[in-house]
Parts: sequence; C-alpha cells; structure tokens
Amino acid sequence: MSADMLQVEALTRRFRNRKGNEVTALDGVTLHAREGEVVGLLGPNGAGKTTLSRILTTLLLPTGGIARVDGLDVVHDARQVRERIGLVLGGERGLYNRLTARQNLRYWGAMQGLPGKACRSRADELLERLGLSARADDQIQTYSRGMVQRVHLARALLRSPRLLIMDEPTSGMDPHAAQGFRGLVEELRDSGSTILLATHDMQEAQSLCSRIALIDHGRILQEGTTEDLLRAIGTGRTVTAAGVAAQLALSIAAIAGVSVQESTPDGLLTLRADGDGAIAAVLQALTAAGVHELSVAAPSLTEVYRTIIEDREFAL
Amino acid sequence: MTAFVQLQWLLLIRSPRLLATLVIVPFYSVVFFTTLHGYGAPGLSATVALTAFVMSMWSQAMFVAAEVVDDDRWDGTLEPALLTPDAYVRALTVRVCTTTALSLPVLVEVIAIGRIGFGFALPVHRPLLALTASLLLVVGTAGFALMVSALMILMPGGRNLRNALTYPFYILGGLILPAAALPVPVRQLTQLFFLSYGTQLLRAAMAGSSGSHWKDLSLLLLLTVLQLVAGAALLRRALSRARHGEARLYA
Repeated sequence: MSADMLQVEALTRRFRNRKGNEVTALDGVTLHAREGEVVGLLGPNGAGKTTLSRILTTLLLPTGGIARVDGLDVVHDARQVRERIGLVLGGERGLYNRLTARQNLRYWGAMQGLPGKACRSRADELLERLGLSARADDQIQTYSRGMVQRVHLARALLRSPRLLIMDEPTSGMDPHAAQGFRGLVEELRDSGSTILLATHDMQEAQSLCSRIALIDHGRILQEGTTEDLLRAIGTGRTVTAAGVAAQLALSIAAIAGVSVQESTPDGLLTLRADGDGAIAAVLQALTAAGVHELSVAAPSLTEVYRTIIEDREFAL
Repeated sequence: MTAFVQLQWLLLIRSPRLLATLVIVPFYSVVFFTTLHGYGAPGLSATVALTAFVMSMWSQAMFVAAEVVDDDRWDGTLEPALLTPDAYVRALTVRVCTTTALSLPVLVEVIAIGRIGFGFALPVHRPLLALTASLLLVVGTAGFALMVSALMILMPGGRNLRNALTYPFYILGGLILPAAALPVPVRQLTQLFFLSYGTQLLRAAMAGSSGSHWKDLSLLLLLTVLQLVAGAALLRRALSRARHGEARLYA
C-alpha cells in the first residue's frame, strides 16, 4: 500500500464574520489521500471545500487539527509544503491576461525559483504537452476558457508537484473544453500524480476520482470509493417520465418505496424507487396510464449527493 | 529579478492608463512656468522643474506602483503568488521599484518644457549628483509605496487613504516650500523624511552649489534603505495576516 501523500486530522477553521459571530468553516475534517490517488471533494457552495484547499496550500492557517503534505506540516513547514504542491483554480482569473502564455509561465517559473534556462525549457515543454504551443505567444485575454485552464494547469505543473489541488477547475467551461481538461487530468492520474479535486460536477468526480468525500457545513459526511457510496444508498433506481397527469403523480407517490424528487405542472416526474417491487409498480402505473416517454437509471453519484447533502437552495 | 522587471514593464506598456500620471503631471509644470514667465521670475524655474518631477514620481508611486499588489488581488494572481516558496515580497519590491523608476524621464521632460517652451536656462551643473539623488529618491519612494500597498491589503478603504498621501508629503519633502522656510515643528519632521534630503540635493545639483554633499547623500541613503526595509517588512506582515484570515487575498 502506498504512503499517505495527504493527511488531514480533525482540521478545524473558525473565524468571525462581520457581525462578530463565530462561524465554523471546517469542523474536524479528517481526510487522507494515498500517493497516486485522485480524491474528489464534493459539496455545495460554502461547504468548506475552498477553505480546506486554502489551508492545504498554506494560504490560510487552521484554528485546530493537523494537515500534512508528504509528511510536512502545512503550518510549520509551509515553505517546503509550497515546493511540493500545485494549485489549479477555476474561473477566468489568476493569470496576467495581457501577457502571453509563455511570458506567464516564465514569470511563474521565476517566482518558483526555477533558474532562467531551466525555466524557459520547462515552460516550453509544458506548453507543448498541454497543446498550447501554437498559441503560446498570444495574449491570454484572447484565449478560450478551456485554454486559460490549461495555462493554469501548466503553471501548477512547473515544479512537478507531489500533490495537485484543483478547486473547481472546470467551472464555467463548455462541455467540450471540460471534457478536454478532464482528459489531461486523466493523463496526470495515469502517470501517478496525487490529486485532490474539489468540484460540483458529479460526472467529473465519478470519471476521475478513485475515492470521494462528501462535505457540507464544514464536515465530511461520507467518504469512500464510488462503489462504496453507491452501495450505501441502496439499490434504488431513478425513474423519469414526461406527460404525467397530476393525479397519476400523486398516486405513484403513494406507492411504498417511492420518493418523488420532482413533479412539475407540465407533467415531468422524477422519482426514486427503492426495491424491485416499487420499480415494477411505478412502471406498471405509468404504462397503464399511457405514459411512454420514460427512463430508468441506475444510481449515480448525483443520487448519492442528493441523498447525503441537504438541499438548501431555497432555504435562504 | 529580470523576470520581475520584464513582467512589470510588459504590464505597464500594455495598459497605457498606468502611464497616464507620467503624461499628465509634468504638464503642471506648464502652468507653473507660465506664471513664472508672466511675473518675470526665472530664478524659481529650477524649483518648479524639480517640484513637477518629484510630484510625478510620488504620484506614480502612490497611484500606480502602490496598486500593484491590489491589482494582483483583483486579477486573482495574488493567491498563486503566495504559493511560491518565498519570492513574492521580493518580486513585488522589484515591480514597485520598476514602476516608480519610470518617472525618471520626467526630469528630462520638464527641463525640456522649461527650456524649449519658456526659454528658461535650467542648467544641471552636477549631473552625477542629480542622477544619484534621483535614483535614491526612486527607491525610497518605492519603499513608501510598499507601505501603502500593505495598508491597501489590510484596510478596505485603503484607496481613499492613499488619495490623501500627496500634498502633506509634498510639504514634508520640501517641494512646495524649501524645508528651511517651514515652521520649526514641520521643519524637524522634514529632517526625518528622505524626500526632503533628495529635493535638497537635486536643488544643489541644478544650482551647482560648491562643497561636499556626502553628509546629505549618506543621510538620504540611510533613510532610503530604512524606508525600503520598512515597506517590505510591513508588506510581509500584511500578507502574513492574510494567512491568519485577517485580510482578503482575493477580490
């Protein structure tokens, strides 16, 4: 078994908000990542993902607990930790947009202490590897969102980090760009990089991560492999049907083992049916009523997420 | 270090608004020279030229160089910069010095305006002394800009405060009036401020006053170094407070 590249034990971060009240952003988080593992951190906005990323990258100090990267404490050995990590942030910002990709990488390489010649050749090598060579001398502000993200990744890789921390790296990307970026992360995963990936995207987490931690209100609510998590929520199936009359939706909701997730006035019905009997009863009711536009899906990480993380979208 | 100078140079030339101060402030000299010309007071032309130059340098430092770190925060480049092992304060010091140093050609610019536009002689009798004093002034002013940068990280209203850091310092620097003409308490304060020694030396360099200026140069060097060290230390402390969650690293 490989050694732990990331060890987080009972990590806590509290701060005072503008009203002077104490807010707990992280509440005793424990998390481990073995060398070569891709660990996904899933949770809603404000769950604590970014706070955790900032502490692990030494940008923020914890108020309690321990975090180690490659055996080094993020508080006391911050300088050495910085030499071992790469941070990939999502979004448009984080680079000098009026500079070219090559100029950006050379600057960031100098900031990371790479000597001139080594810095230039490493920048060129990464531009080539990430498919940016042809546009390397164009200003970043002319790049697409996906290209900007590749420059972010190139910067993070300048010093060949032992641990890559990605905070919503595909946020705001179109599906093609996001898919392309995931391909690059897959390559890194296959080459043995250890990655902590904070994301909202279930498909991304499912395709890239060997292990997933669900976080909310600053606490890890559940952690395990995708298979473990799917097994934990049972054998339920998601049924989606269109053209369902309101009365029919009500009668289906009354079937034992059925929980309706969404029922819209225009007849769209999404529900979860637990157990073979419930699934059969739902399908029978729908087909008997002449509903033919329907699908049955095996549980995915989205169901795991919706089961474990409370929906607070409209609770504000 | 070259990479840091190059970055700042590219950022400045690709965003001309950052050079606006260097174009606008020297034109104050036109107003002052016109007044001198109208009142037949050519003897004050050197003071006007120096005032316009140092005002340009100070404005460039306060309104452009001091914003480098805040611009990094807005651009989202501050966080990744702090992930580098130990380089950010060093890089920022070089970048702020580079930005402030761009004001050096203004001295030539205002002298040319006075000579060509108004016919004032404006000789520089001791160019080496003028150059040395100007370079030290650039470094000291950049040091002050680093202190202002730190305040801008720590205080949400830092930009407003920065706007007030011009005329009081022009007085303390002996720009509006020579330090000797100021009331005693203010005069004593000027003796602690690097800018007053710099302007005094620049006046001497233009007037060609005889005698040694080693004492003033040494004091200017000492105060300049202290100013730069204090600026870098304050900035380092501000960034360290950000790590404690007491200042925002992103906008």
